[in-house]
Amino acid sequence: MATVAPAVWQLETSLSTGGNVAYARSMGVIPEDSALMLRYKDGDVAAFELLYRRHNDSLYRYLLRLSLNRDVAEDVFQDAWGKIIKARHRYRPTAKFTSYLYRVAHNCFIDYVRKNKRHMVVSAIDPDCSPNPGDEPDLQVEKTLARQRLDIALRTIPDEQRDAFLLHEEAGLSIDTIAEVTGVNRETVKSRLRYATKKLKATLAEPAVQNQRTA
Amino acid sequence: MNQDDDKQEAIDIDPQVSAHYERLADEKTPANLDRAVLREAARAVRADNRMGSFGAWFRPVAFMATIGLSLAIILDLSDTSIFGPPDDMSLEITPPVPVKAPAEPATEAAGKNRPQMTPIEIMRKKKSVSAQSLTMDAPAVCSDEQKSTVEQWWKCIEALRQSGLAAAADRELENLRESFPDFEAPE
Repeated sequence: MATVAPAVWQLETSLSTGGNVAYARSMGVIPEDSALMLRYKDGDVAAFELLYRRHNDSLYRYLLRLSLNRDVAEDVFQDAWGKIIKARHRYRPTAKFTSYLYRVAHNCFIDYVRKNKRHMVVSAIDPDCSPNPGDEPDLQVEKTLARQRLDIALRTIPDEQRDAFLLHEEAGLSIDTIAEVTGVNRETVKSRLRYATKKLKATLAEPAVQNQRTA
Repeated sequence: MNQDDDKQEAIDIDPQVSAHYERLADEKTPANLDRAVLREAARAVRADNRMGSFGAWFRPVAFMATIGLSLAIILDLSDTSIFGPPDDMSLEITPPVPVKAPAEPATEAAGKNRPQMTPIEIMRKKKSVSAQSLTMDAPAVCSDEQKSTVEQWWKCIEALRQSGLAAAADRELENLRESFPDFEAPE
């Protein structure tokens, strides 16, 4: 999503039980994530909702495929946002908000794994119960199967490589930022990405039957 | 290296995998999770506002309450005589009943032979002197010059009575009689 640093902007919020997304209308400028977070720091809840709606789905998918467990993903998701909310007074826009968000989420996941090492169970990520109503039934089935193959493929690669891949694909982070989030150097990130995509490509290229056998 | 260079580098790795992922990974955050997070965000701001307004008035009220309580304790513990003597006491010293007892000559101007005092009379004199010591301590109303002669002293006493200062006049009369025991007030 392209954002432009705003000079002056106005925020109008429409909250309803239907969950209408808070929208920002400025003098032709979309507020930056950092600006929204600073507004929330000053007490603007609508700014937080806008910020949240921008990143919630991608962060959820990141945690879902990182943990390979829906319950774990939901717990860590709520924990990560909770930490961001509590730390709002100390927030400083020294880096992109996305980097900050995924760093927090990554650390929350690491902490969760440390505390629940024995109880971590990799389970199949159930497909969404509400498929896209616009899709035809055949397309929905195909998509479901393809998604399962992707999940299986992701499960076959090591956790660190999967982490780097997901940070790149979901968060859109640069190699340097991924290195900062995961606490490794740039070359290590490049190497992990390379191996991850290589393995995924090979797994996704395999016939479906063979993929199910290896799952 | 900027993000575009990184992206190019990643695309060189395998754009097909990225495209495949982008097409399939379309899960949405569960609605209950959205509600929980947004509720927590709103609650945090409300808590901030509550603490802000609470703190704004709490401190001055607490300060005033502490001052008030301290004053109440001090006043309760202090002696009530600060506000005035108890009802059964009186600061006013009533003048003693004048005792007509022969007194020793107080001045040489008297220059008269005084009779010898009996022991009883001496004791009465002492009583009256002690009782009158408070009155004697009262500030003199008639000046020494007025007291130099009986006539002037009597005039001073009369002036005091006419002024309404009966108690002072009585005191001066008593003093006069101390000095001049044989003085008889003209009617």
